[in-house]
Amino acid sequence: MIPIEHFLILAGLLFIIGLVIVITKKNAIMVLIGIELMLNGANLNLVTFSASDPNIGGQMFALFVILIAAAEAAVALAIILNVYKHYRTSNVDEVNELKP
Amino acid sequence: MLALIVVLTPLVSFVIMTLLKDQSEKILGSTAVLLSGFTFLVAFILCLNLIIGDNVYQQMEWFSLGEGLSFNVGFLLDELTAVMLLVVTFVSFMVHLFSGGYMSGDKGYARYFGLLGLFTFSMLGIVIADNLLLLFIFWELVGFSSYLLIGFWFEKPTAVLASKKAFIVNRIGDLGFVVAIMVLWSEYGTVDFLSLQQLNSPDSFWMSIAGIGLLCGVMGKSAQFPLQVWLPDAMEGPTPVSALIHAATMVAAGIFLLARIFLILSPTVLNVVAIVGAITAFMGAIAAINQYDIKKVLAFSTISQLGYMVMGIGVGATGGAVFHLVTHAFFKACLFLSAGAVIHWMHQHLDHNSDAQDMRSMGGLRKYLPLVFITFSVSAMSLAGLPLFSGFLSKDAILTGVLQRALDSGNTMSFVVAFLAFGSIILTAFYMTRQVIMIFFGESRSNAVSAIQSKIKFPISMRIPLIFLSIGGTWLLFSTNPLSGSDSWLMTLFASDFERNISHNVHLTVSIGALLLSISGITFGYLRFRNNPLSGEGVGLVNYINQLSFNNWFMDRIYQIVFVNATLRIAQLSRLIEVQLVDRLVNYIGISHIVLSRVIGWGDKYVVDGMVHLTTSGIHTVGRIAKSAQGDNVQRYIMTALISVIFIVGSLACYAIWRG
Repeated sequence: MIPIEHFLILAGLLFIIGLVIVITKKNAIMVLIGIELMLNGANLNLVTFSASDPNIGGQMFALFVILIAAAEAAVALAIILNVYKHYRTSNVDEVNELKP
Repeated sequence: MLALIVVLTPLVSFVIMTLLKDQSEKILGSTAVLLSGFTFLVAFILCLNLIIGDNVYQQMEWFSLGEGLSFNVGFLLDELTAVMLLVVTFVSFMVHLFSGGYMSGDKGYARYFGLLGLFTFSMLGIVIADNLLLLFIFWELVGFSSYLLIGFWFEKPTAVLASKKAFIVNRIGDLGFVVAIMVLWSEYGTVDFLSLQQLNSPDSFWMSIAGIGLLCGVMGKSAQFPLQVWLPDAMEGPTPVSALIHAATMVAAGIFLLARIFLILSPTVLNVVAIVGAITAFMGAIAAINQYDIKKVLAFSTISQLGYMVMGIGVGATGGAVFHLVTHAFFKACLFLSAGAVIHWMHQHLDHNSDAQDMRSMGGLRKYLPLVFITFSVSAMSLAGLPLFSGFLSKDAILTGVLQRALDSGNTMSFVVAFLAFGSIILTAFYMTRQVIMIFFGESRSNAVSAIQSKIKFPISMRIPLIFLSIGGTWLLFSTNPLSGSDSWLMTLFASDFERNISHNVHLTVSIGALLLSISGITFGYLRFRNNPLSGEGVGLVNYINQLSFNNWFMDRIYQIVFVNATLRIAQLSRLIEVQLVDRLVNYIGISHIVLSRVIGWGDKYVVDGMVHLTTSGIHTVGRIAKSAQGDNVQRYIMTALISVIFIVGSLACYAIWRG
């Protein structure tokens, strides 16, 4: 079978790439994409460990995570739309009223 | 009691004159003259009492400085006082009478008589004082009255200068007087005349010091060398003032003092006294021979005669000195008043630009002022020492004393004194002859006489004093024997033991010698001046003597250079030091204040405020640093959280590995 480390490394990579995208991207949509990637990475991790779990708890958790991710993506998009309406930009650096 | 009346009446006159100063001249003049005459009358009665009866010696306590140190003051009225009282009050009375006419029209009329009263009061105070301190008080008062009277015409700047000079020079002598009083008080505990006489220790060192001090006082008051410079300048005052003060009374106060303290003067001091007197007599006589102002000749003559009196005391001839004091008072006052009459006449007949006192514009006044001519000549002959006149008698008395002393002691100084004394006789006769000729004989040199050819009659108030005083110039008041002085009643009263024992040979030598010298002096004067009264020029030695005489031995110049200029230089130097040092110091202190304040200001601004700023900026920085954790960027938060998680997990992992 495929050794479990490969799954974990992939999940880790996905998570880190998603994190990097969140940290470094200017566009808010890209940040959302990054968040999705992070979620997916976490999901993969969950599912990988549930393969050796007789209660398949990980898989159940992953279903909930997908559900939450969808809801949260909808809400986040709604927020971004409203933010765009107010600030006229979707650059995360510029939507800032807290002076340094 | 009578003494108090005598002394205080002139003071009353002074007060009345001050109160009544706006009354008419007649009222003021008559009041003053009457009071003066009254004073003389009371003095006369008092003197009769004193001479016939006992001396009066009354004291009362004035103040006490604690236990046993009480100071008494009072009267001492003996024969000397009696004679002085008579002389002072009589001359004062005559001067008051004369001034009534002389000073009429002057706007200070009331002030003049008031001051005369004040002066007479002070002089009488000197005469009755019984101790040195009381005498000194009146001594100073007399000097002060003299100052006021010399500067009587105070709008004249020369008069003001002269009065200041008189007072200051007098003061210098008084310094010695005060030192003497202090010495006597501290050494012997008394300054009372009778007590001092009873001490009977004239040879001690401190007594000699006191004697020298008192001699300094006499030098100042009686215009002896070297303090004689004030008397010629004092002629700026009105002429009757010169007659009263500077001929008859005030300057005689010094002689009076010497007579009072004679018994406490040691032989050393007496030698000094004699030398000072002789030098003064000679210097005064030389200075008189080339003056052209009437009053200056008489002033220098006074200096010279006072020198005679001082010399008389110095050689021990106290009787002669007092005798000469009295006769000098009469004839010198008469000379001054006669000169005053001449000046009065010249004033009324000359234009205002000319000097009425300048003898060079007089001459031939014998025809116009016959009475004055007689009184002046009588007094002049008395001064020159011709027999039948009082001056002869009194000078004789002094000169016998001088010669006897020289023969007794035999040392050169006494012979020098004698030489100067006898030499001055020729000079005295010489200058008086010159003066008489210049004023009264020859042709008139002024343009005044041609205007008024008639004789001007003086008021009777001016003529009576002249007549009475000139009687005093003859032998009549003094001795029954016109040719010998030792029979005089004054000598009987005052002659010292030394004088009574003078040998007959000495008397004879002096009488004949003095007579010959006087006559030769008159002859020289007559021969030189009879045709040309103005001959004042000469060559070589004569010219040198003329210059010396006219400038009073250049004493004024010498004093100016040595004392006045030196003092001014010291003052300038002090001012320089003051400006450079003291003012600089003050400026530097001021500047340093400002500098200090600037420094403190800087400190305040940068240090104190700096600390405050430091604190605030520190807090600010901390705040900024703390705030910097919050940013405007959400992604930073995520980054921070990530790093913190890695850090924590990593540290936990390391901890777990390390623990095993």
